[in-house]
Amino acid sequence: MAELRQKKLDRKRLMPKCPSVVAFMAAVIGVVGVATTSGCSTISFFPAAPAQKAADKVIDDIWPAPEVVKAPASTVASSDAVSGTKPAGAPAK
Amino acid sequence: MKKPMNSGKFNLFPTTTIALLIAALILLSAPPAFAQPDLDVNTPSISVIKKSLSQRFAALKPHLDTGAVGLTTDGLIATHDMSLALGTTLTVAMRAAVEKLVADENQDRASLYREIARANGHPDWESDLKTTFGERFINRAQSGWYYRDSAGKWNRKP
Repeated sequence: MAELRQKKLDRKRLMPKCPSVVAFMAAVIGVVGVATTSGCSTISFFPAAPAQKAADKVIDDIWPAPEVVKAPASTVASSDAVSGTKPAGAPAK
Repeated sequence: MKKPMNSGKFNLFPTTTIALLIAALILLSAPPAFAQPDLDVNTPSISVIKKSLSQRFAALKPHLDTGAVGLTTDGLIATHDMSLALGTTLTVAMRAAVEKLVADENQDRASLYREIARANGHPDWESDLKTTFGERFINRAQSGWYYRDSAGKWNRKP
């Protein structure tokens, strides 16, 4: 019985201080957590580098690259056609 | 002899405090992790806007080439010198056509910036997106195209 009473006294001595600190910190963390997860927080940064990459991709899509002038086709085939000879790897009929 | 209960008092505080501090650090560092931006996002409405911009470019390019229309730093376009349009004397109808082209292009571009910002859950980024896109559009502009700088002065791309 005396032991139980001593336990209660000890708890009383400990508890009034302990919950006040723990509860305060828990409350702070809770408020910060709720604010950030619900979008109420003002933590907002503009990602400049990804935005530039996205802009470049959009520009690639909407502004087609200027057409590259193609090199003239080889005249080997036409000269062969004129001379009547076949290229080395040409399939036989 | 039983150990007094309050001897644990000094152990309880540091452990709890450290645990709570770690939890607080995790919470505070978490937002950027779960809010990864995807500015290259492609929602159906963004695709429609991009297609519209792409289709209009063929009609817009001659005016950009002549300097009748130029780019602006806020990611839009504006009429620069209408007398330069295709090297001809502009009729009222032709002028109206160029102005409509510019208005339609600007409407699409504004919608594009708004949609990208919304898709990322940050409507507040719209202004930053306009500036970033404006800078990239001017940077990627072809030689001879005109652009209006932030001071309002028209310049020609070398």
